[in-house]
Amino acid sequence: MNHKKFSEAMNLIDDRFYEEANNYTPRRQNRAWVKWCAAAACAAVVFSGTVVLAANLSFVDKIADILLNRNSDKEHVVATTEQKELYAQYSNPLDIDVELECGRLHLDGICYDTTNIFISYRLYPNIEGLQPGDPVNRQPLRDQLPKYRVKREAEEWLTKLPDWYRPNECWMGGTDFLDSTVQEDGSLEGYILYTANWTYSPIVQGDVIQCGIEIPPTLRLIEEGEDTTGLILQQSHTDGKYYEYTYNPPVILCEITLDQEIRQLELVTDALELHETVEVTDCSLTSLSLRLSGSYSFPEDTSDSVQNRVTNGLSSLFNHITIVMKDGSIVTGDSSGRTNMADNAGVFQQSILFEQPINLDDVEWVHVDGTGIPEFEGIDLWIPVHPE
Amino acid sequence: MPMDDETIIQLFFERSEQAIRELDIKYGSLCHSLSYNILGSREDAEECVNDAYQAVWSSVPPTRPLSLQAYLCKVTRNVSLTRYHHNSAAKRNSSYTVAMQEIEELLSAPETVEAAVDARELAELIEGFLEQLNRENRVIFMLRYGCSESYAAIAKRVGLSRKNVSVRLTRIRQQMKDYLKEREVFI
Repeated sequence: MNHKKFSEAMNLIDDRFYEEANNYTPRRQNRAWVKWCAAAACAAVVFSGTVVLAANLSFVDKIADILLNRNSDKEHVVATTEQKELYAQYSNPLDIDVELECGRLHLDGICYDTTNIFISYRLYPNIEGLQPGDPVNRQPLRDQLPKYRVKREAEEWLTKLPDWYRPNECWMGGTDFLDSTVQEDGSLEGYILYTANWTYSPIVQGDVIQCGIEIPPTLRLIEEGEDTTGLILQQSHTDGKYYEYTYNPPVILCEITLDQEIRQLELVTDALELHETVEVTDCSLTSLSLRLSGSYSFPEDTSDSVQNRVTNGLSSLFNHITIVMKDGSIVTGDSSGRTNMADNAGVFQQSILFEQPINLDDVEWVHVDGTGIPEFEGIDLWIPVHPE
Repeated sequence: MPMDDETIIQLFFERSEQAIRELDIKYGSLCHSLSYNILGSREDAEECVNDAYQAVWSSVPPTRPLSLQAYLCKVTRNVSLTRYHHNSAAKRNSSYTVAMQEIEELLSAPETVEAAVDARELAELIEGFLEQLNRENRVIFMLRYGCSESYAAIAKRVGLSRKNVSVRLTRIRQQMKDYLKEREVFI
């Protein structure tokens, strides 16, 4: 059978199947809420080096002002040479991604506090004077990070697990700290390296891959609808102790004290406007998939043709992709399988194939540069890889 | 407010060019998306959608489609596939290409067996297979292999994660393989 025959057959099948697909509305309309619900309900459990942040409303309001101002400008990225130079001069090249949702949500008799702020820092090297292939080191950037203090504020207990909760699948928002120390009052102080709202799977179906890392075969996956009462939901090592969380895990609400948060966010917001968002979406032995997104504004004298090529033909970008391994070695790969995201110009996925197997754990940076468009030759991104 | 399908069809029967405009208002983005998924080129998609409108104009009347949306989708898909196969410069990185590669890898079979089933029979078998799926999986299958949508687009449409869509499609393809094998159609 060849695909032509299959394609021809697909064109002959009954109209009702096409109608059903085109008019389908998912049952779960509040997925975003569920996501936050998941984070609020589950994430507050303190794991090894992992704490979820819940901020008070006044702080949320301040951040919201900044975010709203930032989000009101939809065109962030301008990659002209001039602005590239501006970026290069930026002394503290951090990328930050903040999501927040305020309020309380009642679901199945459980009240979830969703006044959480999830902050994702991605550390970029100062690219000034840096040449492709140069060894990079994150160490110097530590000093540029603000110190955050996280303090436990209250503790609640769930009376019932959400139906969609699955062990090792409902990953939660969390913060990875660097050099964290426990203070006398029980709070934790350290540099925030990474805080993120994890994706999660409400329906576990076998070979789920999370963050590019395949779940070890030793973990048993729980089928939808299976009773999880009494099962171990999470395991962790904290302060030298081993914990197993079973049914009725605690929810710990935390308070974060930020000393220089506002100024820091404003500075980072400036930097955000100068580069794209790039994330690793998948990784197998010999391929790495990147999802790249960005929006563009153009100088007034930019021709329509160039604008179209950039906004509609982003797949032609980034011809040169280099992987910098943690040991400093450089691996290059051939681009393949680039896919533009339908109805979302400016977002595409690109895969790189490598001759030799690569291990995401060993990857330090992904470096992309080189475009087929003269106006955008200046794009030069260093993407940190944080395998989880 | 878009016009209802029956009124648009009536405009076609009255040979009013307003019918094309209404068709574009109501289903323009759907058709563009469908065509773009196959061709991977917005310019080609634009032309194909216009050709599809023209084809509908030529065929309605006498045809009176029961579902204007599905009819238009099929016409658009046909026109786009024709362009795809005849356009030697077509990029091979469209969603359609990838979707068909998935199918081909799974269902490759000797020519002798292949010849035993024509497209109409295969369509009936696929319909039977689709009937067995739950609604969500059926929609995912149709969006992928009927509308050539990307995993990300499907995930957005059905409210699942991209990875979940990927996993489900893998299973659906395997189920289809088993289904066809049971009927001694392929492999």
